[in-house]
Amino acid sequence: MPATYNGIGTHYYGKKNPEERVGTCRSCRGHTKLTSYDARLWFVVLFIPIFPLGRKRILDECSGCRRHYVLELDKWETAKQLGVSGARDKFRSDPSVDNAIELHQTLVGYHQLTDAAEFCASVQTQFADSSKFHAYLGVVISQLGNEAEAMPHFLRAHELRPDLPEARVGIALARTREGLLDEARALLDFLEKPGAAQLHSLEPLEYLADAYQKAQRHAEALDLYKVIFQALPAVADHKSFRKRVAMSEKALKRPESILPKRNFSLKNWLTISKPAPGNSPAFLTKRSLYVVLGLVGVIALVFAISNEYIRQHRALYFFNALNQPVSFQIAGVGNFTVKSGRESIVLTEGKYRVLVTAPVRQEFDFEVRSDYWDRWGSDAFWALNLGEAAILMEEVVTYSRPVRPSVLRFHYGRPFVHLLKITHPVGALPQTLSVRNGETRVLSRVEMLSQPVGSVVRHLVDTRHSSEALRLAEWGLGRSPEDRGLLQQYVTLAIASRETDAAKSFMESRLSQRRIAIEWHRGYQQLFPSRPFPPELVKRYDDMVQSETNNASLLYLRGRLSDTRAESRRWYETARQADPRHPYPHFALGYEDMLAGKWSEALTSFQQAHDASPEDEMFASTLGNIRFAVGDFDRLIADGRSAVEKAPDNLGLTVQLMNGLVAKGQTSEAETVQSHFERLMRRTHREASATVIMWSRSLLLYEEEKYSEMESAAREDKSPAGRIVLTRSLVEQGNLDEADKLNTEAQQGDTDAYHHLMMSILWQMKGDLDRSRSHAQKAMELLSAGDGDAKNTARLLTRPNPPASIDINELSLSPSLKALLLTQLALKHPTQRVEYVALARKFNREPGYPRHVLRRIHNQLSPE
Amino acid sequence: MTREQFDQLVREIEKRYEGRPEALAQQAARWAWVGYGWFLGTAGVVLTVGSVFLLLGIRAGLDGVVFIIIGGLILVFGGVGVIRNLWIRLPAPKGREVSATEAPVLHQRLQELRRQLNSLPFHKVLIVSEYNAAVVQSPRWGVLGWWRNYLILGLPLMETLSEKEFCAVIAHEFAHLSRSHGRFTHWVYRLRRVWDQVFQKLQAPQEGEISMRILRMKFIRWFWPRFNAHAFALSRANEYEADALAASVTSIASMRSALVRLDVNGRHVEKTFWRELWVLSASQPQPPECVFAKLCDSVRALAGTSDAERWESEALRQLTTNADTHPCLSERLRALLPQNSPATLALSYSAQSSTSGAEVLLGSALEGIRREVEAEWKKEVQATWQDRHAKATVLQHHLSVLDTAPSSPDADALWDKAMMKLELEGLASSEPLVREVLKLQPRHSNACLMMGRILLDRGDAEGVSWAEKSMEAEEEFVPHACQVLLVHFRATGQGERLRATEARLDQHEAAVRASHVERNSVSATDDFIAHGLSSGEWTELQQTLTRIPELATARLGRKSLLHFPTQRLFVLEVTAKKRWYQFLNSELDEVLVRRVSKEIQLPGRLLVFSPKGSFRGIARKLARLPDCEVYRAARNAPPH
Repeated sequence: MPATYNGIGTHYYGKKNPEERVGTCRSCRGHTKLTSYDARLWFVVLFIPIFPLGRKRILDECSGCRRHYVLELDKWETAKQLGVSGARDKFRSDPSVDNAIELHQTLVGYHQLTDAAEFCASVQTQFADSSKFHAYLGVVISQLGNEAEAMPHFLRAHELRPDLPEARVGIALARTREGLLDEARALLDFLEKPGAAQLHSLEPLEYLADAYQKAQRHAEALDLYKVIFQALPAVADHKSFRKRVAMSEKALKRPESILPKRNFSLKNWLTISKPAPGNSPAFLTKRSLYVVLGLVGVIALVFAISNEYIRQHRALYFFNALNQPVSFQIAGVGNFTVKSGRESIVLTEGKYRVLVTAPVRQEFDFEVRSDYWDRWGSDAFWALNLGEAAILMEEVVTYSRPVRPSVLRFHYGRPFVHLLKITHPVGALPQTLSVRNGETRVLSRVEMLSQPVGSVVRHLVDTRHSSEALRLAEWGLGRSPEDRGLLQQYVTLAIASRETDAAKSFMESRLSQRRIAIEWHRGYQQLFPSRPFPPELVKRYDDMVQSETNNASLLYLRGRLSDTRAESRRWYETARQADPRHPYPHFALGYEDMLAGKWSEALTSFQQAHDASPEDEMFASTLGNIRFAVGDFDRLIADGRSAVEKAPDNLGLTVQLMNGLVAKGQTSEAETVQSHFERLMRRTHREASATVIMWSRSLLLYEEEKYSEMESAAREDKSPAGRIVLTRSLVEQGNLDEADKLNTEAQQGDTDAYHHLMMSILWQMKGDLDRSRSHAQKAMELLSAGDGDAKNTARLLTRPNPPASIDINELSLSPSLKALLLTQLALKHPTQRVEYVALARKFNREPGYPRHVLRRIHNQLSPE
Repeated sequence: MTREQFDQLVREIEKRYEGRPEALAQQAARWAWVGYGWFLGTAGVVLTVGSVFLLLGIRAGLDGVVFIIIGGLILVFGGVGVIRNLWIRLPAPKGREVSATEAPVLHQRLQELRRQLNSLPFHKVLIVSEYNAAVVQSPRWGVLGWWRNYLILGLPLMETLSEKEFCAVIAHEFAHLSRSHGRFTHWVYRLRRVWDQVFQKLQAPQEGEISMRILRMKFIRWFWPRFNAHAFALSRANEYEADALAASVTSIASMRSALVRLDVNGRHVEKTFWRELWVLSASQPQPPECVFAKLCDSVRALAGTSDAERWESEALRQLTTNADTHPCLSERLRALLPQNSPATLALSYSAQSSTSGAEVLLGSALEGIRREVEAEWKKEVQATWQDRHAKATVLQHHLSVLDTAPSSPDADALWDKAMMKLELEGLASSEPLVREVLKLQPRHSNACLMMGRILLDRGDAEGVSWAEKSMEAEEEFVPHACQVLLVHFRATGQGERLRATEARLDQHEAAVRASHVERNSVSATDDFIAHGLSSGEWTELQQTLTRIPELATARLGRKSLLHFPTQRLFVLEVTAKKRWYQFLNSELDEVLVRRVSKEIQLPGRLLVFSPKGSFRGIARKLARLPDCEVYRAARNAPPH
């Protein structure tokens, strides 16, 4: 069909040779006027014909719906002429009734109604006694809508052949229209006989039944409906038939219907019509396709609505770790104040600008957006990290059998966080879930951490995420540069992971500050190889000292870079003179004394450092160790108690207190302190506290010399710290085989030269010289590859002559490592054994590993 | 592929693989794989196209919803369509199952035969009401197979054959499932049976369906006859092999006797007994009692009658055609008894032995089984019987009304009456009425054909000429008449005439299809020839044209027809007289064309046109024909 859009398209113009008839439109099924005509199809613009697209024959255009058939006019003309002339020729050569009917049918088929009428008139006389011809004419004429003209033909046919069904039906229909229903029924009696449906259509009977119904003769109507139903049971599926039967039954007040109950059938509903006999039902009909497309459309609409709802109702979380209310504004959404912790709002997906006004000023853009399909099931999570102060922990728990460890990820340093697959944005995850064998379910949550950054860094180190730990430590130091513990962690980690260059760059920024950040300088210096220190580093500090000759801090820091201990000591003395209240020169001098084994002198200096800066944990901790070494346990316990009271979650202070209590014989109190610490850790850090608890407990057990319990506690902990404690417990118990195996399996200790040195000593004591040599060789390799002190240590160990004590004093090793070195020397140089063991005993006073094992070796080598 | 081409193909295959059954089997297997490949390919195409759309949709995200929907629809509808097409139902055969405890002798014999022939076991042995015995393998999984084996034994057959004869028949069926013989052939046979259904289903038009029908039909038309021909040849070879095997475990005499009796009795049961029984449906509302006892009595009474002679003669003259995988009786006997001369192949049909196979093999269970089989038969035919009875009632009503007609009936009324008689009382009873019709209208095509059928049915060869007469009277009757003749020529062993009729039918079908297009269109690409009118026709045309004053010129020619060249299709080009200001007026031409086409009468089809539009090319061609101008108006004559 031609169509135009805004006046542009195709259109028929002209209407030649029109022919009209009344019939049923095949499109709308309406009984209406159908017109056929010639027209020309044009391409039109604003309905103005522009160029012709051909001449057409329009066939049976419905006056209602305008639907029609169309043919090329020439083709139509050709087919019509050939068809009609062929039928005429056949009739001429054999003027039988059948050929007359065929010609008439052809004329009607080509809408040549005038010619058809003329032909009928011309053969009227010829076939006046042919019942078949009259019956045919009656049927065709009535089909063309002219019942009155058809009637004489039916009557004549009936007169000639009273049995002729077409004639009886034609007359009966006319009688029905006239209201002579009983007369019509008599004519249609053959249709009421059982089996009539096999030979004839029962449509006239239905027409008659409908007429009875209209005439309120429901009993007769129902009789006929029953006949129809009995002959054609499938008719009971037709809605209109059921409706009509129900109407008559209602009028007659029949309690039971003549029709069976109808069950719903999806197949019937989807099938547009019953297939023709011999044809199998089509699987995919246009109607079923439309229905399916409709359903798909409805489902798509529901999904689209639900998608749109989700799009407009997105949760945005705010995290405030600044310990004071944060005020901010989201453009187009509103003003907000978050006091602390977590809050959330609901907003529509889109791009937003946020302006944080207090206590910090911050402005940034963020976008809350998901892909269309990701809105379902992606569990997207958006959050604003106000002031970038919070560390957000993403915990992913896999519920399965066997149990798998949960995965922790940390998000920090970005004002806007977008995560996926967060099933529990609010609230805790369930402790347990029922899963089948082999089945897994993954749930996740996000939490703002309240722990110090250092503990997260430690977790990352323990889980072997060193790079991530370094980044986090840098972020933490950026926010809290004075956090000495974090700084030390950072430096240690940078050295261990060979990231010193990056760490130097990071720390460089604070070295030029006017107020000397001593800890940053100390950490920075640690990143360089020592003894000898690089000349450019020394020069840098020389220049600084020259610019401020009386600056105690700079003098102290310059002293740390001296090549000899004596020179260092002179710088520290100068620094102390420059500022007697400065704690670091005292601390450095105390440290020098401690390295020389002068514990009492060291105690005095450390006490002065502590007095100068009583809040400094490092000074307090070192002082505590010195008190332990000199045996001043009462002071150690007293200071420890007050310190733990102030900072109950401080591991170092707690351990010092426990060490003092154990040394004093107050074991049960030490265990109570440990229990309190454990409870506190569990309460505040939950699962993340496991390693810290294991570590503190192992230190207590070590002091109590309960190595098997220490081993049991460590076996359950698979973290690197757990491996270290386990190795130590095995070493203390003399289980060297397993200790070796453990280190081989874990590839751990290879970098720890002193561990190999210890193992070498122990294997030698046990008489396995091969293994001892193997460990010694490994230790030498590692020390030779180390910094200045390590190289010097290696030189001392490989020197054929026994080194003098002054050489040992020059080393910047901790007392316990010096004790270890001296023990090895005692074994290597039996002539100097007594002297070395005595010196080792002097150094072996620090709490903790390897004090006990060394003590036992010393006793073996040279009993006290 | 036409019947003739198919026959030719089967003959070629049989010739090419003569004495090389293994090579034939391999070739058939290759064709079977082509078929399997097509099924898999169809599924693969649906899967691939659907998946591509789905993947495109998924990759495109929001914009790909349409692709996802299309992909989903293709996968769902295409997938279900493929499964549905392949999901054929070969319903398990129904019948009265006979257990070993019930009929121990039968089962013992079956076991013996099975062991001797190393055959596959039967899952069920069923007794049915047909005059037949068969092995039926029913697939549990449609095209995919997993077969269940049934041995179907017709009770009437058991009751009309001796034990030995019946055992020979069973042995033949066992041989089809023999492990050592023909197992592969039987697989091909089975495949043919299943695919026959599948391809019929695929070819059936489905209303309003959206499908790749054209492509499918092309494949089926190419593949199916070729596979079918190979399977056909293989199956036929297998029948001979089964006969030989059966004879080897029973006896040649029993096999020979069973084959003759099976064919002769079968003809009698089909053509006499059942036909007469169903005529009763016109008068009896319910099927009669003791049908099988009557059937046995009827068969037992056959020996020595003229009917027996006729059936035996027909059975031996029957030709093998490609309508059935079973060779005809004479060929089977010849294969079984190669040393015998054709004249001595048949035994004279003798009376049945006093003890039937059913009595021996079923023993005391026979009575009960007979009752149950008959009850089952009654149940099966009940609805059809009642429908036929009801229809007969209506027809009798029409007949009674027709008899009250005041005037003597015309040919149409007589014909209708004959048809009603045929329905009510059978073929022979309609003969007098058909003859009356032919008296009134000797060229009544339907009556000619019916007379042919009646005569041929009773073995009168004169029926052939009546069938020919119906074809002469009307070409549309060629298919029906040829079918009647084919049955007759096959039954009477007239091989040459059978093949000629098949060829005629093929040619007719091809010509009808082609001529329909040829006779209903005319274009400039057609060839045109001189009109060839007789002088009388020419004069009449001239007179008619002269009566049309607005006609300026007329040229006449004929389209050259390839099919049915005796028919004629004329083309007449007319031009209207026009004044100088009327040259652009096309309406004058149209009016002229309408008038001329209405008034002119020529012996054939006629297309009248004016040389415009698509008709210009025809006009140019027509102008090149000699003496085509049939009219030219006088120069100064006025147009109106």
